[in-house]
Amino acid sequence: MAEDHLMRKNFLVLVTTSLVMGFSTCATYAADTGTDPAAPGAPTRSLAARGPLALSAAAEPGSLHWAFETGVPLRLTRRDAAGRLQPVTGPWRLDAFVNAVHDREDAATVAGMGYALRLEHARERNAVWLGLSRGGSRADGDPEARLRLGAGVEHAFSGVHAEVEWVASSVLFRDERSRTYAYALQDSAGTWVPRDTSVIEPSNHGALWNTAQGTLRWRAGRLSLATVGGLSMGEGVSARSWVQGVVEWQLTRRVLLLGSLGERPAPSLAFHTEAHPRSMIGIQFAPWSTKGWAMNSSLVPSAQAWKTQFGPPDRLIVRVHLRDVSSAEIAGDFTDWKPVALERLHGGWWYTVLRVPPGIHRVQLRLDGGAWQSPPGLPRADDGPGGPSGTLVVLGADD
Amino acid sequence: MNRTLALCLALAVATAARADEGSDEARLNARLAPEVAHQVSTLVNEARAAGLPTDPLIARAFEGASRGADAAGIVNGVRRQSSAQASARGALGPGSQPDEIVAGASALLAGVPADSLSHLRLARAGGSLVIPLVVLCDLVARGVPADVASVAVVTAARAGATDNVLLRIRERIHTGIENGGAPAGTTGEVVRQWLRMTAGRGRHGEGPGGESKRKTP
Repeated sequence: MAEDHLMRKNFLVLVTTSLVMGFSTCATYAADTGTDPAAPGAPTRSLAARGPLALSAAAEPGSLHWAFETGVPLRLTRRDAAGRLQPVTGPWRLDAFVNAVHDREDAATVAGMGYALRLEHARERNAVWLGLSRGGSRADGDPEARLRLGAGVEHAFSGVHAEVEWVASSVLFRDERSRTYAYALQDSAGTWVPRDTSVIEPSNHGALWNTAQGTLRWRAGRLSLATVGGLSMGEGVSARSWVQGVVEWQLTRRVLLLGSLGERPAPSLAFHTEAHPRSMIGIQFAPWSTKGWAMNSSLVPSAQAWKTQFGPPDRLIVRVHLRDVSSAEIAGDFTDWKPVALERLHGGWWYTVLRVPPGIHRVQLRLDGGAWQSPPGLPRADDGPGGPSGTLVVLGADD
Repeated sequence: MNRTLALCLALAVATAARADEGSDEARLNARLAPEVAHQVSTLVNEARAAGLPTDPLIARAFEGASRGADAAGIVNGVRRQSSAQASARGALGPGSQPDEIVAGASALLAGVPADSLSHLRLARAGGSLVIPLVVLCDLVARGVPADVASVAVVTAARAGATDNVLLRIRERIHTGIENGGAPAGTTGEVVRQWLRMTAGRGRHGEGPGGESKRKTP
């Protein structure tokens, strides 16, 4: 009776979630206006939208959680009659995840390791994804996850991103049961002698668990606050609800600081490498992160400081401290206004050595191919059509 | 003997000027379309004949070319620069140094009135005006009205502010503006503060504009 009730609840969750997702998917495609899928502010969390690789690690007093994520865009193109490249597949991306939980007391012990693949289709304000996963972290007494099928829909409203997802898990309960075939055996004299003939036999059985969860994420600059709540139910367990708060801070383009408060079950984590099973603090490192990374859109390349130093005769060593920049150029009177690339040093400093004769010079910087701007700290002159430029006064030997 | 020496010198100067012309033309031809290079070269030669700096004119042409300006835009930019340099020299006086003329031209192009340059020359008759003019341009570029910026720089220069003091005044004005202060109000307040401090130090036996002891202007 109770089992019937559980099955009915499962079915209800499945149907409701499917309907919501089906509706949202239709709405997503209906609203698809062909905008740039990698546009800043896109709701997608697909790694392929931001770089080829990310590693994250988080810890709490009892355990360590780490994840590895890699992704590739699946944008196929073909040449039209005019020789122009036309998209064939649209903004599809494929991500792969590996995540694991270690017992901190015994780092060699892996409490659970999960693998997942996620196919995502992301537009400017909408994204849908479908994923397949196996394994994952397990709490004591939890069954083993054989296969998980997940699907999610994201939509960006003004300032708030909402996501609904559903994960169906095929789980395996590994049980043992004792079976007794006879209570007594007859001996040679024909007497019945009681004997223990009970044997322990494996009694594995599978079940279907369903998990539905929703996320609301709010972003302001480098800060992202999210709340994730959901409900898990299935055969052999009572329905369980949970909620977790998540804080993310984009420290640099490559480094994301993560913090979570509250617990999440394994199905909820299966398709999100940055998610944590418990209250944890952690860090995600994406070494080749690009501007398309959702939160990176809040990172504006900026020049922080400018230093000059005389080098060899007539040469000026220019050093500029830049933040969230992947390329920088300088141009001025002394380069005949031809852009000269700056070279990266350490600690955010970039440099070049230029031949700059004594006199008064106008100079500008360009970061990541953006607009030309006045270098920081230099006096400005807004005296031309090219926008404000910095004024560099180089004194001669006799000045 | 003296006449021969003078003739030799004049010949040397004329030869150097011809060499400059040739070098500038080669640079212009290398970057600009022939027609544009020719027009710019004409303006450059006119400026040279008038005794005005020519490098900033060529730089203007190259800047325009780098920014994708059309031929008319490039030539107009060079013409504006040349005209501003002529006006700056007129306002600063015939004995002005080339760098002063260039800085003065920047100030005029940024909207500073020509008589402010003359007032600045009077305020600092014997010294270079490059840094005062650079500071003046900078204040205007940061949103300080040109008349307020002119009064501030001229007043400070008249009170004996050295180049370093002017640069520090500029930094304090920036800080005030970045902290939300109104550009005009902040400029006036910083200069008044510096004048009070200078007057105080003067009463204690230090010369105005001296950079001893106190770090801030």
